[in-house]
Amino acid sequence: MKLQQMIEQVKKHHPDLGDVEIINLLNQASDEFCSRTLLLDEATQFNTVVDQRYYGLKDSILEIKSVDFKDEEGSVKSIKRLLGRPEYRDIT
Amino acid sequence: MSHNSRLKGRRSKQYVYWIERDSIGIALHDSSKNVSDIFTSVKAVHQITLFYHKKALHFGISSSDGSSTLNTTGLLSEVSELPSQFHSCLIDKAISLGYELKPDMIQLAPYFDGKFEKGIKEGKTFANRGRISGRRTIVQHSF
Repeated sequence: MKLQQMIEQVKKHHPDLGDVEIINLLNQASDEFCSRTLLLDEATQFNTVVDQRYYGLKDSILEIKSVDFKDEEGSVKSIKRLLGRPEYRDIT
Repeated sequence: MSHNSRLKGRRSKQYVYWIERDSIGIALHDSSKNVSDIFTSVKAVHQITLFYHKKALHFGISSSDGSSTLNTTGLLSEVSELPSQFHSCLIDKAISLGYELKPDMIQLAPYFDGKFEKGIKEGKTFANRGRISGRRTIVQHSF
C-alpha cells in the first residue's frame, strides 16, 4: 500500500489532520510495530580500523543477532558476545 | 582440581564483541594475559558483518542512515518496508493515535489500538516462523 493510500485511510477518521502530521503518526506506528515484533532483519558490513575498539551503530538497529568476523586467512566465523564489558576500558 | 581453577587454567584467544554506549566494541580476548591486557584492540583490517533486527525506514526519509531530511519528491508513492499484510496495522495505530489527540473522541482510540495489538501478535508469529511452515527439525549440537 502506498503512503498516499495510507494517508487517505487515516483522513477518513481524521480529516482535520495534515499530511505531515499523519506521516509522523504512521512513522510512530511503524517504529512501535518493528520494535515489538522484530520483523525486519538486515545485514551490514564494515571494516575494522587498526587500534580502534568501538564502532558506532545506526539508530535503526534494534537488536544485534550475530557478528561475523573475517580473519587473516579469509575465513568467516561468528564471534562470541562478551557478557558485560571489559574490566579495563579503552575508549578508542 | 576445582572447576574454577580448571577454567582459569584454560587458555583461549578469540575475538569477542559487546555493546556499549550505542557502539559495538570488538577486541581480541586472550585469557593467558594479565587482567589489564586481557583485551586488545584489533591490529589489522578485518571485515565485520553485523546481522540485526531493524526499524523500518521512516516515510519521507530517503537515506538509510536515518537522517531526518524530508524527501518530498515521490513521497506519496513510497511503500513501507514492512510486509504488505501489516500495512493496515500502521493505519490502525495512526487512527488510534489521532483519536488520542482529541479529548472528546478518545473513547474510540482503544478500538483501533486493539486492532493494532492483533497485528502485533500476527507480526510476532510471522517473525518467529521465518516464512517457513510445517514441521521443524531440531539440529543437535555437541558441547
